[in-house]
Amino acid sequence: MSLRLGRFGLQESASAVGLAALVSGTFSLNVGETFARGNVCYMATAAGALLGLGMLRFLGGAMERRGCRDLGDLLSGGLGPLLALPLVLALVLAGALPLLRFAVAMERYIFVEADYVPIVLYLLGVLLPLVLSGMECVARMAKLLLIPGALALGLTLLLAAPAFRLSHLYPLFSPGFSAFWDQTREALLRFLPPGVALYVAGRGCQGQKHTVDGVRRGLLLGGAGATLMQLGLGLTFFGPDMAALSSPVFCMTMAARQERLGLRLDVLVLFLWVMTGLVAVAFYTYGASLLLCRVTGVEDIRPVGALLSLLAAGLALLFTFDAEPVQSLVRWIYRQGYLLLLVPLGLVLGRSMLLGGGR
Amino acid sequence: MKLFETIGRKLRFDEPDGRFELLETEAGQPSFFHGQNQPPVPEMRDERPVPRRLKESRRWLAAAFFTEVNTDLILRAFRLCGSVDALAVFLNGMADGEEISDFILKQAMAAPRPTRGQNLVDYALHQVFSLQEAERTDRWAQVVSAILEGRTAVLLEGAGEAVLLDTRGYAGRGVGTAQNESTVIGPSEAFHENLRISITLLRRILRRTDFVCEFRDLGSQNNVKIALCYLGGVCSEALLGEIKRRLARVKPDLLLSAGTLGQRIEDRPWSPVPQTLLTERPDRAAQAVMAGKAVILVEGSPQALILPVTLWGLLLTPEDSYLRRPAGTILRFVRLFGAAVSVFLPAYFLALAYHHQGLLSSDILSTVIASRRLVFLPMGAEMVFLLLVFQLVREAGVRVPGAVGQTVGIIGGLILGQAAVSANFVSTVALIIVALTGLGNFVIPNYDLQIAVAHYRVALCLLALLGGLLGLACGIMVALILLADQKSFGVPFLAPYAPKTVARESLLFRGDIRGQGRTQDDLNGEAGL
Repeated sequence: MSLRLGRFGLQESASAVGLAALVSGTFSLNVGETFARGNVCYMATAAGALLGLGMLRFLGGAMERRGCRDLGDLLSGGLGPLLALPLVLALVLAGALPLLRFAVAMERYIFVEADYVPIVLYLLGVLLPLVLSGMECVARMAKLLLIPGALALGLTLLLAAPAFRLSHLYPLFSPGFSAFWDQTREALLRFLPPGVALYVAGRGCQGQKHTVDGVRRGLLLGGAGATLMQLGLGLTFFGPDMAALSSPVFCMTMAARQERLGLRLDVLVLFLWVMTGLVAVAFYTYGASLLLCRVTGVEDIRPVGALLSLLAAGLALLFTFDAEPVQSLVRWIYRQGYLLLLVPLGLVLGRSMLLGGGR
Repeated sequence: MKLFETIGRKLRFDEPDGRFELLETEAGQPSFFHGQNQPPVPEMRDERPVPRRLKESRRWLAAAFFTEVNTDLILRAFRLCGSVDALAVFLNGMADGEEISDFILKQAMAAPRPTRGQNLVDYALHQVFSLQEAERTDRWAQVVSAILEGRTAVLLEGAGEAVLLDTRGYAGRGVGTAQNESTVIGPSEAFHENLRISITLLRRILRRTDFVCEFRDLGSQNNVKIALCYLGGVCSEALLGEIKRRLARVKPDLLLSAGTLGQRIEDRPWSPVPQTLLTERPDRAAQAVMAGKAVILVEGSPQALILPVTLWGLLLTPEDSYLRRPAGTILRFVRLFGAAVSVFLPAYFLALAYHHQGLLSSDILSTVIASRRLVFLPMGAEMVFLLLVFQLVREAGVRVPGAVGQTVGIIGGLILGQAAVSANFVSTVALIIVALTGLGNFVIPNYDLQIAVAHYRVALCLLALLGGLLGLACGIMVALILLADQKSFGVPFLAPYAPKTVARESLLFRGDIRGQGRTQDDLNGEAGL
């Protein structure tokens, strides 16, 4: 058995979940559609994080009651392996979406003469060894990059602060409650995967209590960070204006552009985000690989990890195409992608409630 | 064939995960080719007993030491108490001649006859030879080994046993001062090639009953002795077990230094970053022992091997604790800043100059352009060339002895640099960057780490040339992955930060000296001090 799980503790678990939630919550959203309907995204982000946390608590509780050490255990037997497949796909998509955002930001603003392929290949050059190194390494990297992640968040807000206008938030709730609810549901695609990935790797965490605690603390931390970022975006740009931007976070750092220390910090901040984001992508990809290994009985995660890393990078590349079928698929993922998580998890929860405690 | 086996092993899907986990299992089969993963080599020990007849002993000695041509082995025949034929065997130059004359030969010849029925070897051991270290043995291999160490073996006719007497007295230098880890404040003594002296230096600092020195014959072809030193009851049993397991599996053909041994027992021999710490300072080794680590001393090597080690341990110096707290803290910050400059500055500059000129202010950009006006080398080639020249000057300075080495450094640094700028070979900006990089490199206290950083810096420069800041970010990430995935004898290399351990010291700030010498949580020490 070579699943490269290793062992990791509470701080590392919480860091992995926190970084993943922060990166997904900040980057994995359909800018055009989300902001075209007004500026409720920061509220929907907070609500989505709390809703996701509640669902993950249920899931953690079900795992505890059934005596399962990880999600793979809970999905074993019956239709479990079949239900795992949409979860694997959702985790891969959760990894592919930030990759897409980073590739787009770099192609549009940094390497304007470059193509998407070399940019994604560079990112893959980090993603592949990180996934193959295993969960212990991913968790340690998350702990290491927690400070750069916090720095990226703080610097982004700091750089954009001069451009903040309270009037940009007006009118509050203009699209109405339905838009808020739609965006909250969509946010589940951002906040469920971090918890699911940690539950999949729960066997490596030192104690089940730490797994559940790691999800709780990480999601609260990452959710708060993502909400702050969305609020910062809302304060920087007027909603409908933002819909036209391909990389609002990067544009936000440039909104009040000024030379600091003789350097432009906005580009450096983007690379801090990229470094942090790669750990989050690796976390999702490792989680997807491990889940696939668990339900299919493959005993070596390396070929699966390599394939899913390639798949995540390939999907990120595919989503950059402007062809209508591709873009409608992307829109569907952003809008309905949460169903890939919600349906199987709901069924698993339902089954565990019917079966009661003990395996 | 071996290559195919290796490839096959790598590609096999059911290969077990063999990475060693402290306190978890020792049954792992790590997936690299050398070191502790080789199966144990069967012992080929000489099990013969000591012959009863002196004639037979002479024959065996002649065969073992080629005495017909090898005149180093001295076979001094004499009569114990004037009646029993005996033979004193020792290596010329390894044993102290005066001790042999005064305390073995003179006393043996003048001793009264033993009483009837008294065991001859017992009598010689307890009533004749007045040397402080003496033992008896009936194993021939032990006799040969003792002679090779510089001891004297006394063989008695008809006894079937030998008396081994400690007469080691070979020439050696006195205890010197630390050359490569010099400090302004604190002790200056350095370890010695003589294992005994090195242990004495440690014992002078660690005056504790639980300070254990386990002697081991490593089984190399040059029969080197090593000493495994630790605090009994403090150093983790699992750690000791793992060290001994690895030592038992290593059978080097030739072992000349502690550095060679370190490479054979570390987790990843191919990693550029050292996983053991070589030190020439007894105070540093003693501090490690007090913290629950183990130290290996090798006969003939004036360095100690500290294990396990973390990245943080490689970046600290003993002087941190000798200085006052604020000064120690500032020193740490300066060192970390220097190390960061050394690693990132050239690559960062190249990335900005090649791919992201927009990130530089117009003032900086115009300065760079002005300095490069007549330089014909492309900037990337210029930087890599200067980095290589710096390594050249450094190597030359290290290899050339004493004051001449310093002169080489000055000539290389000042005259060559000035001449290169005047000849429009390199720009002043690049020269300043490489000089700063070099200075930063020297503040890294560990020599192995300095070399690793120097190589990594060139790799980062190439990545920055190819991919700008993206290449640089990817290079940093890959290095972090390697470090995060690395372990030293089961201890995560980035502990105590990642993973965080409970009883960690303050990383950036110099902590209270009252906390020094406490066992570290990441070592899984069995008892706090």
